Amino acid sequence: MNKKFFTPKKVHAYVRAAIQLLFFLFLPSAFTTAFSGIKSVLTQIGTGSPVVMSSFLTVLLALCAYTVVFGRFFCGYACAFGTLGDAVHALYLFLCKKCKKKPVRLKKSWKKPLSFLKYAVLLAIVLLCFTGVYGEITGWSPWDVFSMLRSGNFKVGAYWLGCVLLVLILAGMVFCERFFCRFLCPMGAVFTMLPVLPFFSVRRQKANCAKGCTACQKICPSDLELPEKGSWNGNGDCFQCQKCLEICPKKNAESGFRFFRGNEIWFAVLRAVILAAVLILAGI
Amino acid sequence: MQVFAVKIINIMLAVSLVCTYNAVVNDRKEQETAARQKLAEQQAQAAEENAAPASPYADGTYTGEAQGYGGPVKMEVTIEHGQITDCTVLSAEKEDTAYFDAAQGVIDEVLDEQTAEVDTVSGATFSSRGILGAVEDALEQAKAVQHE
Repeated sequence: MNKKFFTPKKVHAYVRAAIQLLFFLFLPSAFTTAFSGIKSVLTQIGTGSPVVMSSFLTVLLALCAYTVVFGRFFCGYACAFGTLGDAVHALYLFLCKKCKKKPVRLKKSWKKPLSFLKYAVLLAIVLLCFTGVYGEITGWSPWDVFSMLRSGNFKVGAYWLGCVLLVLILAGMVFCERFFCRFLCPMGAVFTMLPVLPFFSVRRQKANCAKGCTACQKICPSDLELPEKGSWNGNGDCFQCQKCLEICPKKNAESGFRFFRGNEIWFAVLRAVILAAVLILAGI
Repeated sequence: MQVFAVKIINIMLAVSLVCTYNAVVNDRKEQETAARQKLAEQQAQAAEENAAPASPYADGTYTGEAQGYGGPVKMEVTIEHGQITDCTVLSAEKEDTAYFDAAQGVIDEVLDEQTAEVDTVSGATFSSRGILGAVEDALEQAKAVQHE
């Protein structure tokens, strides 16, 4: 077998795909469970009842605690919705290659305003739960439809609006990588508001970059600029796919922790195991 | 650093707000429960003085089954002195753990209200319906025995 087949980039891509597949098969409800935590807290506050520590809430708190330490690794590796998006987008890129067509790219100027849309989605759901209206409107949620289809339940007739929305979201995911995660995900909006510790995110020293090179930003699914080493600020939209790390021609992009440099693939596996353990212990 | 500090402050504010809210609401709830208990004691005394109404349920243990989210849910319901005293989960293999745990909140409601016609847990509707359906199934059997 040609030595070039197992480049670190390809290995990482396969490892990531494998981890995503495992989470998709065995822990697909993590996203909806955690978000149910938020909905239940708000509904309880809205009705004036005390906030009880339900299983939804423990999963939500566990996931948020994990995200504070490791960043949005969940989004990049464990979210069933995100995995679906990655799969359909990869299919689109594959078809583009076969048909020798250039894939569509999102206009840079649209990126910032669209990113704020997820806060609007979160706010809308928050208000609906708080006023008690959320429980009344059924059949609209694309996540409910996705959960039902995922567990083999095809009786989605009553959820026609959810089906329509799901199809629209999938269409977005096909043409724009991680369309839902970057622009529409309310759970993602919550994650971006968390104070993520800088130790495990990929950083660089801009002074060492090759002149005019923007490779990391070009390959980033979220079009992000890498944060500076030593800074405590980070990118709320980074979900740790680490494509930037592999593409840097000067090996300038590095994980915050010296121990893991050069072993990023093992670090990814370790984080996946820790995440699975945290979710299972929290009662998923 | 500034952004990071702002986020930390946000989180702390949100958590302290929720805790304060909880403390206030729990206080209020305790006062309400104390008042309700007093009323219940008075009513119980009055009820004892009149003849106790016959319960529709015959004493014993009954097993009920109903469809939950992914599969059948089996519940065991115990009736003592005509009252529902216990509801235990016998099996719920195809249920999603987090959702089913949350749905078990309906059991307390059933024991409080002495009926299976209580509200489902918000966000865990199918699992709640499974539990309540199974309890209702068991109660129907208890009614049938009582009418024999």
